[in-house]
Amino acid sequence: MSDLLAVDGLGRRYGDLAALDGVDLRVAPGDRLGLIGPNGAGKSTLLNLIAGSLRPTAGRIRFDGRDVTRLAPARRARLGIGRTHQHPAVWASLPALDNVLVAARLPWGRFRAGRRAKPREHARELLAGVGLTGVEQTLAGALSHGQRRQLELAMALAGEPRLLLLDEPAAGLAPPEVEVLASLLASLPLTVAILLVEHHLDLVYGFADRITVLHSGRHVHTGTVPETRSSPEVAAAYAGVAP
Amino acid sequence: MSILRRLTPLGFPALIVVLLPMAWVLDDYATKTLTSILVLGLLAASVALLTGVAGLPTLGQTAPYLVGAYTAATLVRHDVSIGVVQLLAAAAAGALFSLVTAPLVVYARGVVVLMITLALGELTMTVAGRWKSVTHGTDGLLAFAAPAPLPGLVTLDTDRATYLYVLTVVAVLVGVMLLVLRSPAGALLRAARDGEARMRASGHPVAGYLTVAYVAAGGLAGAAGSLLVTVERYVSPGAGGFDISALVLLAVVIGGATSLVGALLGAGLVVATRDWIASRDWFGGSMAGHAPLVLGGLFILCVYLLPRGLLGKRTAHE
Repeated sequence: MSDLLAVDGLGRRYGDLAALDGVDLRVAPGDRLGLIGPNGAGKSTLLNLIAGSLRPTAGRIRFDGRDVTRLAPARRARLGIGRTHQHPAVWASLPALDNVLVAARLPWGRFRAGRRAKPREHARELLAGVGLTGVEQTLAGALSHGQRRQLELAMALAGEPRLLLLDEPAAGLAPPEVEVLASLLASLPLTVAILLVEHHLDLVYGFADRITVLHSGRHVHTGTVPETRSSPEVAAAYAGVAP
Repeated sequence: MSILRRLTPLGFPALIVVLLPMAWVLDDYATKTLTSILVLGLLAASVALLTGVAGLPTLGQTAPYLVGAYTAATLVRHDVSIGVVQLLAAAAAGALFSLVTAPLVVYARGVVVLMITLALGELTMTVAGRWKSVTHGTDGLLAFAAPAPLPGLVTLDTDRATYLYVLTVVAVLVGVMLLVLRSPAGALLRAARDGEARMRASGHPVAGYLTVAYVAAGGLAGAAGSLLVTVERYVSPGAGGFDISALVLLAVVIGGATSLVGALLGAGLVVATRDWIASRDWFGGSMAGHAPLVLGGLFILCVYLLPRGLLGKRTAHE
């Protein structure tokens, strides 16, 4: 199968410090790829480079066969790269439902109609799909941290991405909420490939088909969950920072 | 303030209904002051559109305001005596000025926008003072002929007629802006203000939206400039000085930056304070000549007592 996302020799330096150094990555349509590594491994940097909110200092990113290395984040989003943020980013002064409608990037006429008709129903379904019901008209700023995470996920899905980048979706969630998140992630459609950056290893092991491990900005390992669990490089990477 | 906010959709028509009979109630001086308030109020509404709704705090809307005023005055001097023509030309000039300067503004944020727009305002005022062949420099342009609002209508020879014309224009323009802001366009601008990164992540061209808002605000300011000429029959660089920028921003902060109607009310409060309280012999005349002091006090009171302004929306973080 041809790759949806192909990252080659990607690097990002800050002066002498290499946050990311020559990383290669492949994601096929519908893939579930986990991205783990100790703090400072470069996971979020890699995700931001793919989304376009950071510019690489080396390497190339192709999405669906097209070189997107120099494209602005909004252009990449329109091509089908969706994302969520580590600190959930929602539009605080709009109701939850309008957050989804705006994120759906509807053509003008359908958006206006959307206040009543079909798109509104679709937005409601998306909200229900991430477990948010009864808060459609609540201002997003008044939602709890966990609800904002759910809302941002619905917003990312509203853009109908083919690749979804999830930046630590379990951060700040209580254990029961993490379980809800796990079943939610498992229910996402296979038309969307997912790259999951996460510290919560059990969540990643339960979700991903393949796992890539980064350490100090370098690629250490890619393999299935059992391979990753038993990989000496991975153990060394984690042991290196947390003896 | 929650009752005020709930009544907001009705507030603007109600405000116009209250203002309309003032033409027959007030004396000439008060009518003229109220007319000036409406002109500054329209300028303040354009500032509120940028500062409160789009999240671009500006001290530079006096620039398209001056461009519009000089455009209108020049038309008057060339015997174009139809008010609406002057108005549309001034609005177009203000919008064009904003389109040209948009790249300087829409990529910056926060205090940087404030500084860039301040510079644009000061530069425009300086050009107005120096470009004598067009503007007559600091002498200003007299534009004495009173316009007729539309072909076939009476000319605006009285303060009352001028007031009614200005009120109509402000009602229409602010009314249209309010409708636009209730449409998806308003949601997109508020979203861009609330969370730009999320807008980009959702594929929205934020700079494009902000350019549209900036150009629209420039058109409103240009229209306000045309009304200024209709009221004063004169324009000079001082009409767009820093004191006016500051006064208008003050009006917007007091009125509630997210509300165009609040901007109109704020302009009323600020100009009334400046022109009436501080220039009449109330308080035993002790306030006479101390308008800036009184305005400063008013500002401090408002910031402490009404941090969101009279009609500002509660942000969700509070």
